Amino acid sequence: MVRFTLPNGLTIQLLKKTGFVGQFAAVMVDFGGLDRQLSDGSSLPAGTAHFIEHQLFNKQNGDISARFATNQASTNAFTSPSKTAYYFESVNQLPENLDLLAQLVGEPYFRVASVDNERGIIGQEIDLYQDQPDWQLETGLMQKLFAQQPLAEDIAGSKQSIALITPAILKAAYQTYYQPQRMQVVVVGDFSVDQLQQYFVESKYWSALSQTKSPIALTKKIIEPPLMPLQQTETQITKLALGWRLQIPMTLPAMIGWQLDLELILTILFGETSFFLRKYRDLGLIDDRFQFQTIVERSSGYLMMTMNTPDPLKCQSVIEQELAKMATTVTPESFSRIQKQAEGQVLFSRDALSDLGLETAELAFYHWSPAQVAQYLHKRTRQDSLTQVQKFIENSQAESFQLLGGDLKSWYN
Amino acid sequence: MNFQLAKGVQVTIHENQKFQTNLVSCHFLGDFKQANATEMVLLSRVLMHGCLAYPHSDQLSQALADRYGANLQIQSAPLGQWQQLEATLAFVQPDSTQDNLKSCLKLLKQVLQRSLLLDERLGKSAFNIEKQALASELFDNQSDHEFQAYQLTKAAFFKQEPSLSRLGQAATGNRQDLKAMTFTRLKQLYQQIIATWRLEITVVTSTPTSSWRSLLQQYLPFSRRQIVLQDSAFVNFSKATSRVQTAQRDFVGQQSRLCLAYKLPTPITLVQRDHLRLLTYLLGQNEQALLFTEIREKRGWVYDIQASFNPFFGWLMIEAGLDATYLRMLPDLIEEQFKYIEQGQLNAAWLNTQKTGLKASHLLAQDSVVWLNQRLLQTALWPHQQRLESAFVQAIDTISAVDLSQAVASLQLEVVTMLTGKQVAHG
Repeated sequence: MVRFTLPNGLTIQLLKKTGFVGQFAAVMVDFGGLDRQLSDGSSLPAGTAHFIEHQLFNKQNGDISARFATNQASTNAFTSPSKTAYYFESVNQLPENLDLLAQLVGEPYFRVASVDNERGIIGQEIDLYQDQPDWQLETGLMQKLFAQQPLAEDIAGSKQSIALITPAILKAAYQTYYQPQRMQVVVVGDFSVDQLQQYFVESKYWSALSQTKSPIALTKKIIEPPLMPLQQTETQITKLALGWRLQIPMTLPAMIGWQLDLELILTILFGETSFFLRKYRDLGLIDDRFQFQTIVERSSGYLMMTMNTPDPLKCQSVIEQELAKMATTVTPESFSRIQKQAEGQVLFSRDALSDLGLETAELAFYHWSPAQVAQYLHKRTRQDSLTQVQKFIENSQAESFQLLGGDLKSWYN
Repeated sequence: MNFQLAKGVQVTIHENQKFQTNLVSCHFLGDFKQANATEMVLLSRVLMHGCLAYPHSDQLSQALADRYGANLQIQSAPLGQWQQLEATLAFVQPDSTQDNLKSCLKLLKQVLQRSLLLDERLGKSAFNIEKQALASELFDNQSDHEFQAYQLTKAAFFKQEPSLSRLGQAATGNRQDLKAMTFTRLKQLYQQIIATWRLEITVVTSTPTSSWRSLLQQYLPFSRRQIVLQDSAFVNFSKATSRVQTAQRDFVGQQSRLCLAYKLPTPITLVQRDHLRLLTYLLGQNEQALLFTEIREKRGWVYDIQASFNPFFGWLMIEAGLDATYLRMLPDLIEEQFKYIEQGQLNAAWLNTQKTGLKASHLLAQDSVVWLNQRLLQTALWPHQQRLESAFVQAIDTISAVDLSQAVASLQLEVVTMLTGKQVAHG
């Protein structure tokens, strides 16, 4: 892998994958759903980062994805709580598509008509999510874990919050956050690394991204609507979400180490190799939808478990008991097995260009690389990981949330 | 490379050094009348649950973890009039030995040939556990409106063809058939599939192809079998559409769902398939597609709208999620797009871009080990229909606006499904 930084502060990583037909490139911006303030302290409506993601495709001469398409490339984007990423996949014309990617993120064109139209599309997207019981479950838990904080709100915002978004707001947010020193570019494929490095050094499009010391200010203060209660949809089956929010401050690099330790230990406790999963699945207390996620968004970290269960109270109790006795469940044998599994997963992950590219970009914001992740997983000891996870549980705020459904037995019989 | 391991057991191998992932798949193929969807799904689950060597699900998962996190997937994957039980083991080879490969092949053999169903006590226990887990999943699926719209459409689509009505069943299984399932029936189905169904083994590997005959003979042998299977997996409709069927339902929710199913001409030729494939792509499989640009981008009516095409089941389907306000207007707007194509007036430059996009997506698929594995199966099943990449590119290049117009004319709207989301008043 080659990594370098342009004079404007933009960091670029090139990953050569010999023999692959595809070319993947992404720009990841350190701006997401939880960024709700401008540098002067004025607030942004929920959903602003996601709205910009949709609107940046709109250019003076039409939708830029049409120009990618003429270059045999397909393009897309996503917004997470702390990042926005734009990417393309193609089979050739790499420099031309990279030029377009730079224009995609570097040339905003926010107009009233397109913003109004986009509001309708995003409104449909919000409705789509709200009809999904699993989305409701996770959102309900987040509202308890992060009450009164941006993480409690959906990345897309609400219909009320996006009604407040105007071209001026988008422009102010864009100028504040879309700066080259806040971006990571990753290119993955079978290319000449030297030639591609030269391309970036000489490209007028990438060097045109400039740092803005004084972004424009908003003339009108935003009065954010209160967080709306969930419009609960019908769920057939009762669902439970449990969450643990890390309460102690950590540096960005430490967050990834903590996340990896949690993954190792929780896989042993609650993953497919665990006696816990077998026992309670066999008993019908949980089903195949049981899952856990460990999430890091800058310095916010949390663990979330979601499940279908006929008895939420019992389910919560047995999970808490399992966490309490983790030191006995995590044996040297089980730890070494999970490390071996993780070693295989690192190798598997090298076959998916887009996943590899996006992971590389995201890790760079935490000053990690995929190779460092592999090394960490390999070298970690049982005791080190256990200590970290115990410390996490002890220093977390725990919350639960339920969606009540019907009775499986009545439905089945 | 391909060879016969035993009568009725064919092996097709693709050697490739660029992937870390190796795949070995066993595709058991039978007639769709031999088992219903629920039986196939439940059997897949019981096989995934464990085997005589690893009777519990955690033990089998530990065995996979010990093999550097090998990934076992067993699923029912129907191909039109053929049922398919597909067992795929993906694994890596972290060193230069074949140790992990051999160990994985042995494990696959145990899972497929030494199932818990061979032991009355262990088998019945796994059967009951998986039946319960599947019931829970089916219950949960009732809240998935996108799935419900698709399933209602699929059921209606095959309703007018009584001989094919079983194909309208949900691929995930259904409550009625699940309740009727017995351990004896599942065991009988398992034994029938393992011993008598046509077996295609496909392998994507970094290990030289020359080693594979002896590796499979030693570690994953299968007995010879007499194949009884319909000639064609592709459905043939006996009747033309007499009237468009409509399915309507209300539910509590923010969004509504629309699903349209069109009948393809049958039997379908390779040329017709190419035309319909491009038609589907330019209708709703990319950001420049007609439905996406005309309905989402210009009007802002929908967030998700897509087209899909399945020649095995003989349909082209359009699915969308939208506000109830537009639900009854959307079919007419979709019809307008079809008419526009049927007039043969598609912009040449735009059509060319669409062709370019389809060809690029086909090329990109070569970076997917799963896609390569599926292509191997198609090569094994329909060798005369396989062609070089250049031939595919040429076939797409030669498609004209007139060809697409004829493709549209060959479609018959069969089902319109509307699920209306209704908000509940609070307070």
